[in-house]
Amino acid sequence: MMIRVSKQELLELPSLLSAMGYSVIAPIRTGGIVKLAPLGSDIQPELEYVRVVNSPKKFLLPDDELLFRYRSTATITSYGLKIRFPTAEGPCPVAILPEYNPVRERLALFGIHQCMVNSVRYLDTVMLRDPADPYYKNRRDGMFIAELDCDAGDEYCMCRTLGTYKVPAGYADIRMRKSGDGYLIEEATEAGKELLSKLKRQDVKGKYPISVPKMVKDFELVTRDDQEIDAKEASRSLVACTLCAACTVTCPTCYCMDIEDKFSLIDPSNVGRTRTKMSCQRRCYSTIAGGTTFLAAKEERFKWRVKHKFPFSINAFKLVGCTGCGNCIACCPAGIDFREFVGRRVA
Amino acid sequence: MKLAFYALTSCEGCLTTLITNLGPNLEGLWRMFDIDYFKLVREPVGGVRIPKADIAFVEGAVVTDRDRKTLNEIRNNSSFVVALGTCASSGNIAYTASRAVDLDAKHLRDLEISPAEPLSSVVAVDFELSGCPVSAKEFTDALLRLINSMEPIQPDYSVCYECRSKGNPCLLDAKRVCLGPLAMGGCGAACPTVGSPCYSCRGPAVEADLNAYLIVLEKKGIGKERALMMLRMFTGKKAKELLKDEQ
Ligand code: SF4
Ligand code: SF4
Ligand code: SF4
Ligand code: SF4
Ligand code: SF4
Repeated sequence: MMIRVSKQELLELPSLLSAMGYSVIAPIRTGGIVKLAPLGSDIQPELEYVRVVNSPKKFLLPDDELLFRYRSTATITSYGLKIRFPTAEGPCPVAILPEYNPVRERLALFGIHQCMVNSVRYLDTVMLRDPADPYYKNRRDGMFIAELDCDAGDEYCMCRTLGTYKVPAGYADIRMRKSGDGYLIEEATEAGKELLSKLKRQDVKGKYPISVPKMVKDFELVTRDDQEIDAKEASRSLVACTLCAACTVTCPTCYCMDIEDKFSLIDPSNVGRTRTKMSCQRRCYSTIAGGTTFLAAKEERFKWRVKHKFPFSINAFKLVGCTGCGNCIACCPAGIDFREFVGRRVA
Repeated sequence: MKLAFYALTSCEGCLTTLITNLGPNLEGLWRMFDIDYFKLVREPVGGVRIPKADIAFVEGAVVTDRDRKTLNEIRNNSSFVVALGTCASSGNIAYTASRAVDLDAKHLRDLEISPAEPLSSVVAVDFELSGCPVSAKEFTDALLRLINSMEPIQPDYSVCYECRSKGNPCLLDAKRVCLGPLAMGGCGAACPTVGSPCYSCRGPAVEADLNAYLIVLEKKGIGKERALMMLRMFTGKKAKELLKDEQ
């Protein structure tokens, strides 16, 4: 079912979603950039944008998430406080405190583009495989996605090449696109139907149009093979890489996380085990006991990132790990462009 | 277990930060450890004498002859010496500033001061916690690891890592010098988050690459002079190493 609404009517959707109990996340323009953020009642979502500098990952896999607490066998000895770590000193009788009470907060992502919807699909593929990550699943279940079609990318986009301008079935509850001075909306799920029933609308016949967004620079993929990537020269273009890790931080599909135990001096035996963000561009990602770092050179880290997006993901998940959003290029201070590494410019 | 907290030539900002930012943890600190020396909190137990301690936390740079003497005494009396804050770990502002004045000038000669140095120029330092001021959270983490015979962890990422995670617009894109890519992270990108450039007050990042950074500046059409000036401001002796190819 497809309907036509005015822009004003479309902008009613976030508050209708909140009324249905969702916490609405939407693109917001601030300080010259657009980013996804919780939508307050006084802020309007941005509809005319190309790029958000963060992604749904920020909300689905939050940094610094408390997983559970445990009691370590901390004792205050004559030599001060002594905590027995289960890992450092062999198994110790720790009591896991099941303090994790999932907050049933239903998220609604409003106005995200196709590449970002595809990133949710990729994260699902990784996080919901057996056994599903309960923390991720808790947030993902019952989430609402209101996708907004993107017509033209900027100079960093590559969704045409990767086919990620198409929204995979079941991944959007409604789809929206600009049409004349109003918007066309397609209801794709029951939840979408329920939402749209609340709008002043005009039914439209026909199929929801699929269009390929215009690319500023168009590429075709020439390599996604592990060994080919390894054999390629990359060091020259990487001299300017500062190892800032912006490429992985802003990538919507980078899911690497670390585990950190958090202590306090108030109750030192009560330890909070948390999940924090990690990146293959950081040294500790590939440093092992004894101090050896496998991915020591910038070139190796860059290639690792590219290999994870292409051969590793294709082999492990049968899905390309890159949605072509271009964040890793747009946010790289050195302007390092992986498209030139794995692809060839086409006119 | 005995802890001691000292200040050499400094603003005492690091020790003050511990007192103000540890909040309820401060009580825990006093409950769990014997703290014979922490002048900002109470009169030292043994008077001016430097007591024996398991871990000594030392703030400030070595500037005066007395600093030098005290530091040596601290080293001799402590099993583990932690440099607390940027003054102690790199010399901070005083490092460059004290080299820009004529210390032999008449009004300075009697003060017995020499060019500022970080602790590590004078004694062996076991661990450095940077930050101007130091972060109370990093202090707690380091302490809890130390008492469990584990080496504390220093952030291996630069300020950009946290800045980008927050979704901040990058100041370099606005053609403003920001030392983020060179600076040791861990502060939560405090300055860029409020729109001020990073001055690298925590010293250089573990993998700081000046050459790469200068190419980045050039690509963005930003002159490097200001960046080098900013780098010299806080990173003291550590900048010297980084800047060895730039005069
Ligand atoms: S964003 Fe660019 S400079 Fe930063 S680590 Fe990635 S490739 Fe290197
Ligand atoms: S690798 Fe780059 S273009 Fe691909 S999804 Fe990640 S940020 Fe986007
Ligand atoms: S290995 Fe690197 S590229 Fe792959 S998900 Fe982790 S941070 Fe991203
Ligand atoms: S590092 Fe900064 S806050 Fe700490 S003593 Fe030095 S100047 Fe003060
Ligand atoms: S503003 Fe500074 S700290 Fe933030 S990303 Fe840009 S260079 Fe890095």
